[in-house]
Amino acid sequence: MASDKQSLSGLSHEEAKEFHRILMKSAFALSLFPFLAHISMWFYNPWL
Amino acid sequence: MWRIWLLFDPRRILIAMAVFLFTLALLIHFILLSTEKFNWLEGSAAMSSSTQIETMIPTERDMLG
Repeated sequence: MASDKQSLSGLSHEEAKEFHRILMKSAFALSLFPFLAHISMWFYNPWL
Repeated sequence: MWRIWLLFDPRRILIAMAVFLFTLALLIHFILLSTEKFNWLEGSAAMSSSTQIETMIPTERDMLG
């Protein structure tokens, strides 16, 4: 794994995969809140 | 796709994303506050603008009385 440490960010392949997995899950989970906010706002007062 | 984190530092990207999203949210909320229809502090969205105008125009009864 010595070659992994030569990445520009300093992350190994496994670390990059782990971060990517967590980031994608978090992004999908957190995007639910603005999605629900926009849906409820549209029913309350549509803007188009 | 995960190889992007070999190029960019995840810590910097997370901070940049947080700052960007917070600024965007702040901007959108201020834009909404500046409008008449979506200002939730002054005026209500339930009351349409036409209704507000109607109440401001003096009726014939107001003029006579």
